Amino acid sequence: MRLLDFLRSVRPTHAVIGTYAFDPGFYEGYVLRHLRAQGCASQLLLIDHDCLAGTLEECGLPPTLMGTHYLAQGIRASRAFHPKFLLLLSRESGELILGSSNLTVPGYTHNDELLVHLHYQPDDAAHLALFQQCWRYIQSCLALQPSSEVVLNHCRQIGVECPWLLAESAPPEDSWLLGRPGGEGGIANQLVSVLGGDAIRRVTIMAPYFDPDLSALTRLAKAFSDADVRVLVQPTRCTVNPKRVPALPQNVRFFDLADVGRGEPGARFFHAKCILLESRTRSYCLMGSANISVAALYAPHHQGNAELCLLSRHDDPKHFQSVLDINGKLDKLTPINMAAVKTAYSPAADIPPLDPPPLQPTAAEHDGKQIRVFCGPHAAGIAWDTVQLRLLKTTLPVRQSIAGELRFSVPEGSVSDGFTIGRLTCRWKGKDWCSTPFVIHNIAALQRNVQAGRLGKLAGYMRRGTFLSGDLSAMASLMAEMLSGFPQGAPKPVQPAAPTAKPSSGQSSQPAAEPVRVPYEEFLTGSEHQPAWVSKASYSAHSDLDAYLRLIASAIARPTGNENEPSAEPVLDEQEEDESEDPQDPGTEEEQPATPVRASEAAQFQKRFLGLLERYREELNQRNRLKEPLSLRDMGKLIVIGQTTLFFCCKELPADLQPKKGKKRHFLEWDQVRESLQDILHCWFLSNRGRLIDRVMIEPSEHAYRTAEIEYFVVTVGLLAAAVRRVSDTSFDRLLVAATHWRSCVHSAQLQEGEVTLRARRVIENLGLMPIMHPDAWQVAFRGAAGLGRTFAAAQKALRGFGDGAAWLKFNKAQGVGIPQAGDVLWNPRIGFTSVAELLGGNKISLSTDWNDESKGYIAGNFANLSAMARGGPCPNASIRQACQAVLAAIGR
Amino acid sequence: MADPVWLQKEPESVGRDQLGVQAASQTLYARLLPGIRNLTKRARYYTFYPWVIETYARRVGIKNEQRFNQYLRRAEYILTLATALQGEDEDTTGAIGIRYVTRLLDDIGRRDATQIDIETGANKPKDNYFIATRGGYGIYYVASLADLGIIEIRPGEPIERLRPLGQKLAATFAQAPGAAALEAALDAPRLPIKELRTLGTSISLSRLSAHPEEHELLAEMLLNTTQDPAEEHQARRRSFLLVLTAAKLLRGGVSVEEFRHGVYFEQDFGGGTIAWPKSLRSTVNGWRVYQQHEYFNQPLHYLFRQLLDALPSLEVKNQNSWADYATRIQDALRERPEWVRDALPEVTANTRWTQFLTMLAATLGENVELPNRNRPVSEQSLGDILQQPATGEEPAGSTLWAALGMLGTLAIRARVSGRPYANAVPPSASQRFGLGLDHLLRDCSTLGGLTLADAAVWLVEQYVVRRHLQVALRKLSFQRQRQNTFKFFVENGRLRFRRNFPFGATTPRVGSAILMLIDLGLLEKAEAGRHRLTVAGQKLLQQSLAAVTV
Repeated sequence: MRLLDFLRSVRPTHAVIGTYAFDPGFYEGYVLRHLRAQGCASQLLLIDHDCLAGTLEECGLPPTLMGTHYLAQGIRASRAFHPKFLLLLSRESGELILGSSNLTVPGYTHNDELLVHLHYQPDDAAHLALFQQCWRYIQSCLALQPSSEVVLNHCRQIGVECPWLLAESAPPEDSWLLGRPGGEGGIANQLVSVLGGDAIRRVTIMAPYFDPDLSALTRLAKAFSDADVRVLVQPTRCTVNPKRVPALPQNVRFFDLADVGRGEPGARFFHAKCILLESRTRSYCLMGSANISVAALYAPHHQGNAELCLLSRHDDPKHFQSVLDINGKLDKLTPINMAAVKTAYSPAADIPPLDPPPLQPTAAEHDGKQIRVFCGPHAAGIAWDTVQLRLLKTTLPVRQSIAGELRFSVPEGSVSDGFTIGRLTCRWKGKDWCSTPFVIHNIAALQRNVQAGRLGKLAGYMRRGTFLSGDLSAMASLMAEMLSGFPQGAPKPVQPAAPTAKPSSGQSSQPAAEPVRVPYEEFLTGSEHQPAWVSKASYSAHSDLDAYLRLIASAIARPTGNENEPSAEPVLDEQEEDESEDPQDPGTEEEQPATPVRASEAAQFQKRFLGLLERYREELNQRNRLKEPLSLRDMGKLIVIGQTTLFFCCKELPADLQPKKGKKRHFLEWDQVRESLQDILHCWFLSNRGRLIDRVMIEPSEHAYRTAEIEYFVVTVGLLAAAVRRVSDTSFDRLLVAATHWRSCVHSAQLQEGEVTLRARRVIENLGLMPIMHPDAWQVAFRGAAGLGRTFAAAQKALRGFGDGAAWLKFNKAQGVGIPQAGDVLWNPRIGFTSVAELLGGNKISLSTDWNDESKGYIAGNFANLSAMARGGPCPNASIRQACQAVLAAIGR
Repeated sequence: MADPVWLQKEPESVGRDQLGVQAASQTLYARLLPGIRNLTKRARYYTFYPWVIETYARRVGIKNEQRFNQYLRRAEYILTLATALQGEDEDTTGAIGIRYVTRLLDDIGRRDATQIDIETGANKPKDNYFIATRGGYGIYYVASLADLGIIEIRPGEPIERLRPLGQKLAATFAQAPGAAALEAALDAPRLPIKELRTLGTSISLSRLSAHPEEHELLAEMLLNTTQDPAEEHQARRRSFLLVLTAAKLLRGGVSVEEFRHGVYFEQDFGGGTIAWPKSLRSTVNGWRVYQQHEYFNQPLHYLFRQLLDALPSLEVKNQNSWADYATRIQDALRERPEWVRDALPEVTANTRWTQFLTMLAATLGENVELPNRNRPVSEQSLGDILQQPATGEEPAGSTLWAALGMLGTLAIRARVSGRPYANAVPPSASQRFGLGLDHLLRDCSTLGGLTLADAAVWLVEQYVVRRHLQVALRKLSFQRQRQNTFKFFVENGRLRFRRNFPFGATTPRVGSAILMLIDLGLLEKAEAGRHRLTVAGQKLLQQSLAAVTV
């Protein structure tokens, strides 16, 4: 199994990851990024408390997105929080990977690790109980210390969204989840109770870490005293204490893992933990996080490590050896004399017991003007007036201390949104005392990044074009995720206990002293979430546009780094957020227009999208038996050129579908892909921050085959975008509006306005663009845009009448037309209307309408320079000059 | 029941540019010497490959990639055999698959064989003449041929198309002595060694000068003797002329190392001044920027290697946290090396970075923007210290001081203009550099208030440790072919050693340029890896640069 591939292939809604060791760079750079790119913005890490504190140390390599883009809770087990699992959940399915891999680069890519992968789906529920047990185990771990409320709420919300996780199903007959805390007794006791009376003949142990006195191994050997106990280790890298080996029971023998092909000597660390047990009739495999130590296997209740293992049973005694590819090799091995090996064992340094700290912070959250630090029991005699919260450049005195919680007031502007690491300090026993660092969850930032991150990541993903060359299902999943996070009609009232927010009518309902808090569970992923722009969508379409676009832009433009965190957020400021959340004003609810963004279709999106492509593919493949079958990727390949042209392509059709005579054409079955195209265009529109869809070209292949239906679609979408962009007054945007519109006019020369409007209405509804452009407003916008369009269409006719690009090149050369100036409006039959963004030298220019980063520019001579002709420069004739002047006037130059 | 599975290891690769700094060097030299590549070493391949495409179209004419590749590999193989067999005076450097052919000929010599099996030798499987499916053409020359306007690569088309220039080059090669025999040999499953040797005497890579038309056409194309105004052709022409000028100005001729040194310091290895011609001033400045970036690259990589050298033993001692290593860096700087004591007597590990720069600037001389290797401190002297291996579990103070000296020197020189890359690339290109002198200049404000001990820790953390993790992670995450290039891991705040790597400066195509100039008869080999001007070279240089003075 390759975990990196796995992470790229899954599409969960929520991820809960447990780990002992943690590499924030790897997690934030790979795991977080890839899961978010696939729509999983809700990610919670459970990390050993001490390891987490270690990574938060300022002199270490601390995380940068923790607390703002994902949640993290340090778990305080008696010894260590040691389980390693990856629980990926969605409304109807789940994946659980459990084993020995820590959340680090070697744990995911390099070490010899052992994992088990469990699935759950409604029609494949064999492991459902194990998921439920795992979920309960997570709750047990969260109960080990005062956890952050935001984390607990997050888990509650996951439970609400994945109700299947909360039930208690019948466990499978052959698998058991053994865990501490939560299980009955230690892991070893749980194991023995499952084995019952089965007489174990052989025990094979593989692990890297052992007790210094080998006491756990001794106890295991004694527990299975009738069995041959074989311990497979990496001799020089395991922590077996050679001096204790002679004292082990006689039934224990050591072997070198290299002899069974594991743990490449000197290259790959064997980090897997596994105990195989064989009776005459059965075999068992215990694998997971537990090393061969008392803390892992034998610790009494409330002591030792937190561990999580899976015990599996099979009726073939050799089954697990075979699965692990050590079958047949074990019996031929020669034991090694571990007493003579220099292992990685080193005696533990004598560390004097430390006094308990005065304060034990375990988690914190920053909510508006307040930071709450959750603490374990504090020592008696603390000088509370000296207790402070130390942040990067600020220290805050404690404002309030209640059971298990310290509260600090945050003066406005004193704490950067991006900074999420804090420490508690105080005077203690006559000295300055400072706690280990802890993460401060920034609720506002999490709100933006967990929810808006879905939208932004989708858009970023699309903008990079990653999905365009690959797996369309990723895009479909993202889109579905995004849409499912949008409101289902009118907002529902929030729970009564939740603080209220300012109503959209402008009434103030809360005193300023107490920060208004949006309950976390409402913005996480639930259907109750109301994005800020939704309530504003009740205003006129045009006035909403900017807010809507800014929301999208803010979500898209923010890279996953601290420096661009919410302070730069123009839309989701507190006021607007409050405006959208008022649950107590029934009038608001009634007044809300029906502004769903294709809500009814959202859940079906992915299925439908892929279903369409799949059906089409099957049909083609049936006709195409002799050739290589088409993949889904072949089927729905989107090619973006210059970010403004959208092609929908498919592979060449089989010969029997092609016309027998004439030019080869490739047909696109419009009815089957229309809906998909509309969805794609919707994504496209969002991903371009509402930028104009400059050209929409639907090309089955190299040669376009256009039906009237496609033509209408192109026209209406093009016009829609053009009309939408009319709200901008910049000449650049007007130029783009017009540039699109002339194309539309050219195509629509023979179309009736009524028909176009009819289709525009349909497109608006299908694409869910009502918040931007209400269908009723369409006709007015269309007519407004048409004025520009007609001007451009007329100019296009005049310019084209003079000749093609070659004719203009010849004219420019003959007349000695100079290099255009930056900002000049140009025309070329292939590019259409455009303007000069930059002079590149060597007679080359870059175009304002060209968003291709790789573009090497265009030769200026190939364009008609409308600005120069309007200014009185060389011009073929008077009518062209007039047309040029009209264009310049129309776009306000 | 769920069965356990082993985690599959992600394949590791050594990778290149571990800190993401050398990509900028590549951008810089690619703009100075466009068209050719480091491994396109022989001029004659620029006529040979168009001829292969042309003959394939004429003789086979099937647009099938596999078929073309077989044809191409045979042609390459035969040319290399002919080149290797033609005589002792032949320079086989850069001949495709020459190592395999040399071994084969040794073996054949021992066996007294008289024929060579072309069919088998040219086949794709391992251990044959060249492992790549499309031979040296596919991995070395095809992009260069496209850049030079010889071929056109069309997506989806199995065989590249010849542009007019390519057709002209192909036609010229076809007229070369031996070309007809080579064409006839393409069909033979086996070829007598005697025949191959005869073929080599007329068509080998070094026999270019025996065919004046081909020679002239290649010189025209590579040196742009017709003065095509396109920027890339002009840039290549100027760099070729600069190499020829270096061959004239440097005692004993030009070598790659002294060329780099000469353009940066405008001094030869002995410290003597080099008067570059005014007409090539902008090109010299461009190469100086390249070399400056190389000097920037150098300390970072040696600091990285030093960290990797130290990690294994620190791991054993359980002292491998970043904080532990940072303390060791600070401790190592307490000991000042001789050059610091002599040139910067007042500088200690506690000196502030700003003060350090002030004192360092004084030692660099008045015209600080003009590097001078004769000063007590220069990039050359600091680079020499960096290259002295200092390995072990403790970071070496000498390396750390030299790295600080190098970075300080570069910052001082760069801040004179404030735009370190302005002479070589437009801002749109330099802004894309992941780490470069711009960053160093910017970070000087952060470093300004730190002591040198703290500044060293900051630089190693930001420019080395974090940078490597970022770069390796990016290679793991985003490259099409996922690469696992981590040299160390971070686990529980501990740095865990993975593997070390060899560090080398980038090779800026100058070596290829020299070999091509030899093929064109403008340079000839001299002693100690140098190359001096031939009579033809002097003539060309005189014609092109009347202003050059010795």
